[in-house]
Amino acid sequence: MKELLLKRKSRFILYVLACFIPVIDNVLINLSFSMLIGSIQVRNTDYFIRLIFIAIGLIVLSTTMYITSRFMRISFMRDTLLDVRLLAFDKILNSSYKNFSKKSKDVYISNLINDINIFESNFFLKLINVIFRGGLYVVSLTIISFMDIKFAIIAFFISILLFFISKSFEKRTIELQEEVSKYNEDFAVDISNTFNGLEILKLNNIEDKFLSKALNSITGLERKKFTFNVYSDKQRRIMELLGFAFLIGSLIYLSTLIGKGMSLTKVTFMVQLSNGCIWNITSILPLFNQLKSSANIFDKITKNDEEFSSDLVKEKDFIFKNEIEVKNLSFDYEGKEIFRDISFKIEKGKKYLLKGSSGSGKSTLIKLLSMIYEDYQGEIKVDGVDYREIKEKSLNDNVSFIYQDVFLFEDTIYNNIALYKPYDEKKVLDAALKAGLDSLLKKKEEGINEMLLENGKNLSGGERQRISIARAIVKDCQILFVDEGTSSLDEELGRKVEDTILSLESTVIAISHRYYEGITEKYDYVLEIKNGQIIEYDADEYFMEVAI
Amino acid sequence: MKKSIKKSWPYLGLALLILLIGASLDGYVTIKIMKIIDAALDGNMVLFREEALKTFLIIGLLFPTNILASYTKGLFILKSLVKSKIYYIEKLFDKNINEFQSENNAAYLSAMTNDMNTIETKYLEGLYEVGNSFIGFFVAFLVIASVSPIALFIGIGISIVSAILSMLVGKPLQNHEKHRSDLFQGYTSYIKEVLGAFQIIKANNLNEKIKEDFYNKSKDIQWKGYVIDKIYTYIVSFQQMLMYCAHFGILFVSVFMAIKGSITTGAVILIINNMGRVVYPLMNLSEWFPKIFSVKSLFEKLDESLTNHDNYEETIDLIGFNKSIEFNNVSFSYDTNEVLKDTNLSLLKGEKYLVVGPSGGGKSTLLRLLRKYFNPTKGEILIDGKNLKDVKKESYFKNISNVEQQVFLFEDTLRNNITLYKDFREEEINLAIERAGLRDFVNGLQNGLDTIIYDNGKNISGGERSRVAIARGLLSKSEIIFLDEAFASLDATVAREIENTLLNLEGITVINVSHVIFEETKEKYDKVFVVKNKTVFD
Repeated sequence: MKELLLKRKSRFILYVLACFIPVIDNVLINLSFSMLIGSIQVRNTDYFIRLIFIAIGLIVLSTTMYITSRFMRISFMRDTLLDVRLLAFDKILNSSYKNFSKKSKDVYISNLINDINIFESNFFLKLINVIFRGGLYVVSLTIISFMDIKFAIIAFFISILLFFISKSFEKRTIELQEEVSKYNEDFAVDISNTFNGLEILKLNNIEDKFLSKALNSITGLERKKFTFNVYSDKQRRIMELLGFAFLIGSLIYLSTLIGKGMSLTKVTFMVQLSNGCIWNITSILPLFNQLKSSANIFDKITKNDEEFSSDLVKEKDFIFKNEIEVKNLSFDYEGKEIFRDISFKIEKGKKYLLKGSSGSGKSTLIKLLSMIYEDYQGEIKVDGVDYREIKEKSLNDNVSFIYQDVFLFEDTIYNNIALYKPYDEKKVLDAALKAGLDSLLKKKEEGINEMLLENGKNLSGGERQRISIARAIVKDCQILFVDEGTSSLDEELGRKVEDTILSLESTVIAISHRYYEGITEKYDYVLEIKNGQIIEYDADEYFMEVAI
Repeated sequence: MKKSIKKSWPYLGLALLILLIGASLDGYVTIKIMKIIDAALDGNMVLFREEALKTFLIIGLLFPTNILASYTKGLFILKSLVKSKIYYIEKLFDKNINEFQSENNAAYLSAMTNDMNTIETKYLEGLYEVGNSFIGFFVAFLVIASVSPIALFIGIGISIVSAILSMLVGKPLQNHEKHRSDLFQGYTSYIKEVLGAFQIIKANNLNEKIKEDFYNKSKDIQWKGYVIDKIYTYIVSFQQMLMYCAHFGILFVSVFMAIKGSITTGAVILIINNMGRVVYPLMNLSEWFPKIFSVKSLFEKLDESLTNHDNYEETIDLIGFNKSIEFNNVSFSYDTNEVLKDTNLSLLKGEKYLVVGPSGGGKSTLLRLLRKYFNPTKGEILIDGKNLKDVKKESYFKNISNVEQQVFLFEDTLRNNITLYKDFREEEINLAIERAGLRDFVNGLQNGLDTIIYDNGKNISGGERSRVAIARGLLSKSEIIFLDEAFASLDATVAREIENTLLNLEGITVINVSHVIFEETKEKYDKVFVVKNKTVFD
């Protein structure tokens, strides 16, 4: 948190100074007030009129100071909050795929939106209040001690007492605010899930059940917020009341001084200053607590909490000229054993078809070969270099994926294919055609420059799949991983695309349930996964023996 | 939506009542202070001590009053927010499927979070603060009036003028708040998209580009907030100046009156103490009124997004499907994009149909029309001779069951995910599981059917999910089953088996929209429809 504020050191200092301006403003206004009251004792009309002019001048000064102070502050706030957003986002973006998929997407959305909203409305508001009130406290106490040291000491001790009373509330405040934050997260996840499934719920007439679930969640969340709000509000009011009691006490004490001959001006000024002392010390402490809990939220959303980090240095490049060798590989996922001591080789340029029943580990094997999972036993080596020593970026540059789930950006079709890399335009168009996209491009007004809506909502399943295929073709990389790449396409188009894929120079490792007569035979090898083991077949063998 | 909040106004009333009691006690204390000061200036120490004691007693009463105030405020906000959120969700669930899908889910999520947050901080707290201000004003009014009506009226005059000026000045903020809400919506959608594409981003080393995009979007939001803040600054500083002028003005008048001897010094102090309670609340008002009004356009936006635009009154209850579904010259367009034109076909009870065609050619649209998400733009669909448009959605849905490609699993037992909370005998459930090829999967689970599925079934593979969807469909015993690319994630062997099962179901009409065609089973369908070039062949 500190680094965040100190990042713009000079502007932060200006910010703090800006928070002090209201302090000066406050003291000057109080002084002119006191003098006006005191003029009742003086009973001189000319003196009175002079004071009026001074007061007017002060009002103008005060307004100017307010505007200045505020402007100095809000631009600092704006830039700092922008930083917070970026830090929170970076944390998510920099996590490994494995850690990322541990939490649901909606938790991250809650972090990036809800938590930052809470932070935005809490942190800076509390910060300026803390600085202002703290400043006023110190200044008031100093001036009082010049006027009546006994009174100043009493005021000081009472303020310390109030400080400790307030501190006793601290722990619970933080606890409650964190509970609210967690509840918010859970709520966002739940409700988002429900929205995603609403279509199915409605079709099956069971939306009422989920409606009441949602309503319960809402009520639960609001109750949590209620508990927190009441607690902090109560805390504030109690402290204020204690301060009020002290004020009355000091008023009474100072009134006795009038009897001993102190001027009305002086007495009034001291009352006002002790006002500034006590009111501010009582409200500063709850604010401080809330400030701390805001800072905790900041830590939660920006601190890196990655568990597994390899000690090995990852500096080597991914070079694939001969083969990828998998030796004695074993892998568990969430307690379930997926592979047990498997070994096989992937030869460059050959086409491999992965077969196996649902859940046998086909997708997992691809994830292992593409460095998504790192915590396996055994070895994976490419041209003799261990995977664990290779830079992730280098691998990513050399592999491509065609998956069942396609994510499309809210951008042109062109950019969704090229993925913002500087390919030759002709190459991109070529890839689009090879992927079977010509009918789609003809349909759209802007052709390949047509903008897609959220996640390609305005395209059919097959069209999205074809864009994903075009992406892989244009990247023209060494290894192509395919997971049900033609499942959303009809027979004719599926054949065409499978043929294209099998005619590429890349090494292909594919999962597919489809069988295209004449095309599927073009695979070189079939790897069958059964009960955690792998059996390798020559493609011709496999297609003759295992009837489809 | 405003109306739903109005229901919790009794709680607001209660909260304000408590505030009234507190404010009255406060006011009484200031009167005591006046007496204390005058007694001190007069040298009357007996009276001084008496009044001082009474004052402390009243302060004692203020403690419980204040705690009650916290509870009642919290209660008001709790009840209001619960009511408005419930209203929103209920209305949202009420939306027709196609209308719900016309906006993306992030928009709804943003409304539930960001927009509700705005309503809480600006509208609800605003109402409370406004009430608080009026009460403070009212009590202070009475207290000052008991001492000097003249000072009071001058004070009021000044305050009214500044209140009016405040309200006028607050108008331009409305548009900004709405724009800010729209920005947040776009922001939430964008984030959802990025999170969904996490793997692609990593696999294609797109981190930098995405960071840049995110930076730009966040910058937009922050700067918009900054612009709003700047305008606020000018407004509030202007109002503050008004307040000071008012405050000092009253002081001049009362001091002058004291110098001339028409009121006591203590009275001047009382006027000052309470004038603060007259003027400061009004300053709050001038801050809160603009905020409250700026939420008006937010309410309008929310209400608009919740209304069903298609209010066609459906009158028929469909009990059973007996003969046929006929398409008579049906045409359908999404806005200006015509997808089907003059389509004619017939679906007879108990028959099995296969629907194929190029992707984007209209298969899904055909399905959506059959599911009553949309009504045809021209022509009519008749079910057993009745116009499908007139059939009530809920009653129609009872007669159909759907097997879709993207399977939604909810956080409950596997059993409930299959039965969808309807009652079935164990044998029926087991039969559906067998036929859907789920037996192995269920046997592999520690708790079998009672295993709880978390997080939309993250650990369940695509093939298994498809089989759950199929089990759902088989179990439901509806007369019509629609399959939408249901076999895409399945092994060829399994798919064929299930398809055979479906084709052997007696009396049930099956409509299978699919890419996956097996030569052997193709023959078993009664008709194969090809949806191509805006029309249907068989």
